[in-house]
Amino acid sequence: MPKLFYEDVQVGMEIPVLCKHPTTNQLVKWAGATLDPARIHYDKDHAQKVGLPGQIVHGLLKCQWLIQMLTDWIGNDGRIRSIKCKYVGMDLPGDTIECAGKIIEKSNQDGTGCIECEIWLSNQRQGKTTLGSAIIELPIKTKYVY
Amino acid sequence: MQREAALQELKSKINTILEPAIYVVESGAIGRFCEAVGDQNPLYGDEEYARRTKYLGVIAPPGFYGLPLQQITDAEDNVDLGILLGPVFKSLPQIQQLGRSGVNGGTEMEFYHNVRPGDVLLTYHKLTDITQKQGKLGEMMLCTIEQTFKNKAGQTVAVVRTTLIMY
Repeated sequence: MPKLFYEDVQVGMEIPVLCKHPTTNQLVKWAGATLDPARIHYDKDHAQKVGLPGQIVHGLLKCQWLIQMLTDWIGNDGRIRSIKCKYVGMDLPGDTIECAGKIIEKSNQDGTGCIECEIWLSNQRQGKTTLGSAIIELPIKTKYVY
Repeated sequence: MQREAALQELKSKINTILEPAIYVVESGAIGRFCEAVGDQNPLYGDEEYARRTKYLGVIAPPGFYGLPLQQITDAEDNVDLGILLGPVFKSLPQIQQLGRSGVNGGTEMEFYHNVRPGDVLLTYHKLTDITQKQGKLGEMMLCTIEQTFKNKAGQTVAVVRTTLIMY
């Protein structure tokens, strides 16, 4: 049974918030898993030497958290068609990060339930540090084959 | 001056398709990726669970396309490249001369087909734009790189656009 049907959502509806508490350890794990050796993500002295506030959370990891927020919400029967993220601020280990979003458009495209969402990521120091959008396909109740 | 020469050389390569890179999708790599994200969806690792879903088996999370086979140049002091841009950097080493460091400015992904353990993907990449801008980090160069991931059947699995900020 799908977690979320097209008929269940309305424009303005908020996506359940996903919280993250990044640590240097997590950034090192991500650096290893994605073969990213850049020192700005785990060496505070180096990061500050090149003008950053400290070791910063990888942009791509923030994008992946937004993807996780969406897939946690829509379940296995929904599908992300596309996602866009702009990294407008920096997040640091120790920050409390919230991934959030809301539905801004909804349309039935030739039998496919399509929704557009505004999505963002924020921390407790700076507010929104990533701004984005996503297009998602959801199953339609009347067309769903059980 | 070295920077100016690098910029001119990069500009001459805008929209040129660079040497393709091979990405290999392996279940252990998917597991390490999910662990780093903190995503515990069993669809990405539990074969028995995944077989009962419409996917009929484990898939990689959207956003993971495996690891590039080619050695990534040691860029630890300079550019934030990683999994997506490592092979690009190999073809366009001049990017590193555009600034003393680099950060990721933005990501766009379009998803077309699922990625599964055992898949081998061929990635075509190209530089699509270079723009100069003043920002929080001083004078910045924004390089937009587009990557198209294709599977063995020739289907486009995903298209990824990254804006790399060199400063």
